[in-house]
Amino acid sequence: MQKYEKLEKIGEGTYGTVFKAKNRETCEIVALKRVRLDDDDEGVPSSALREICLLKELKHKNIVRLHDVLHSEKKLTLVFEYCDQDLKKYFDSCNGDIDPDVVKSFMYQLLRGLAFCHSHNVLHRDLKPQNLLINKNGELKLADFGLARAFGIPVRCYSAEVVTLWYRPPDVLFGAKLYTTSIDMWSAGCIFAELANAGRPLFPGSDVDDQLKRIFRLLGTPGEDTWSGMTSLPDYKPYPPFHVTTNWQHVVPKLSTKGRDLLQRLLVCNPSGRISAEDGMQHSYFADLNPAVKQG
Amino acid sequence: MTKPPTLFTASDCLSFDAHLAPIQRDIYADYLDLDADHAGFVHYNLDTYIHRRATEMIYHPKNCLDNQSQVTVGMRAILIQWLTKVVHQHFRFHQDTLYLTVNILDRFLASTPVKIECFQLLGVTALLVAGKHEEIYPPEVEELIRLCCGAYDRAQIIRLERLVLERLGYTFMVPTTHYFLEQYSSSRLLTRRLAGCTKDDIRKTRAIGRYLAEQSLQDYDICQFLPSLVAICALEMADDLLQHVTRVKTAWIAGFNRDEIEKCLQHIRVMFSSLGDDPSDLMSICNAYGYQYKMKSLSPTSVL
Repeated sequence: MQKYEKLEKIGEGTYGTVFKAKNRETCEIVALKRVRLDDDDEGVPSSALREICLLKELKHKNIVRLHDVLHSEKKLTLVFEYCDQDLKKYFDSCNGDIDPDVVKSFMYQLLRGLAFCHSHNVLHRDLKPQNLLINKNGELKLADFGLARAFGIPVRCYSAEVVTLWYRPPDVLFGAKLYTTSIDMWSAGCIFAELANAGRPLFPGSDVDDQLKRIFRLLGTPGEDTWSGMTSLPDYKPYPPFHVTTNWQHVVPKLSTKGRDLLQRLLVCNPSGRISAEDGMQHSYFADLNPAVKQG
Repeated sequence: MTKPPTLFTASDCLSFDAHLAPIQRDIYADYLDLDADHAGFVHYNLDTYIHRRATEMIYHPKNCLDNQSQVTVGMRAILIQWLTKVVHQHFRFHQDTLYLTVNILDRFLASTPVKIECFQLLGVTALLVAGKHEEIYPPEVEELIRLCCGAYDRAQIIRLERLVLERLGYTFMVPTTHYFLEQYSSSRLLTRRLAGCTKDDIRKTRAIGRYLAEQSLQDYDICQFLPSLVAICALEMADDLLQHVTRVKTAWIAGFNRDEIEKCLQHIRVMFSSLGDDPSDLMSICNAYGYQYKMKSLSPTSVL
């Protein structure tokens, strides 16, 4: 690895280690994701293969840019644009207070990145604060496409082992394998609430059962009337009929009325009722968004 | 029904009839009446289709055997026939995996001369890459070695995988004939009322179309036509075989002219006659290729 000088280890991705590094020629700072390849292995891990392949298609300002791929006998290195921190670390640094304009800007950029993925028929399937990168200019970028995949018709069964528990939608928690872009929209809703509360997760469940209870306590337990097909999902089991007691003002006190409306359109138990990324971008909550962010 | 996305519009890729877009958008408003396996992602259907139609020629390997001194058209057919069996019967993989495997195989052949001894190695390596891209559980290298009766070892497969990835630049989101066939079948299901066709007829056409398109992967001449054109022609041929009188016209959606369609169709007719299937007994093909929608097995069990 002569071209890049490793500076420090940043973290561990879904597969492989991530380093901050410097291009020796251009002095450009990059992030290197390194995957070890052993002789008795299965070759390039499928998550790495998909990530490379998808990111080659997805060139957008709200999606982390893959500059280069270096493939040697012993390792595979993905060269990414460098971002200063992820949203999780950003939360830690802001001491429980985020400017409402920043919340709006981040949320808009998240939806714009997602809209681009979805219109290029890619599902991210693992949205969480750790996978959203923030740079000095306040730009947000979707990263870690190790679990992402392309979708098509006919719909087919995908793995139910996707999305970190806290950001997993109720349909997937009930074992749905025929999910659509709505899977990412639920996660976006959870992240929106977390942004509004400066880093307090909305549904920090301890297991699948606890996760569903937390969701239903806030949204009410859905029935076949609002979500037809729910009871025939593979892992469906009945939950007590929680009645909505908390109002949204308590859940996200700092969020404006319009912001709460958008949040409620994202956090819909029935996947077909969730708003799409494009429609979300058109929501009146963003009417007074800083034009510089809108134009990007 | 929320309005379709405007981010990636027809005007972004003008290589085919942009004026068709508003017509189709109206049609999609009626989407709820699709088959269950065609009802997803409607919101993005048209944008995806336009994008794929505009990019299919980039990933379409033409005359991939021109630079091969040892690999012939016949060998290619035999290898793909074997891979088809492996995909369906051995692994029970999705059909898309087979199409991607053949695409990888052909694109690599177009880029690099291959010795006969390595031809099957290339076949299983293409399957390995396609499987990693498409399947929840990709094939294991050990299994692929067994399928080749130990003719190759792990190190050879892994080395060739690296070469394939590099030569093809990690681009595997390719528009396949399978994708277009399903897309056009969706359109047919949507517009069937205008044409007065039954859902049953359209599903039968789709099943026979799937079979013809899959068989056409082995036919080097047919593979010279664009995937979207092969898909259109497979459906037309299926309608012919089923002697459907009322038909949904699909050709206009794709923007091909009659000459192009006739030329490709002629090859498919020749191919079908060489398969030796009894045209009066198409039901077994229909059943194997998803005439009845089955939740459990989205991939067909082979009729081979």
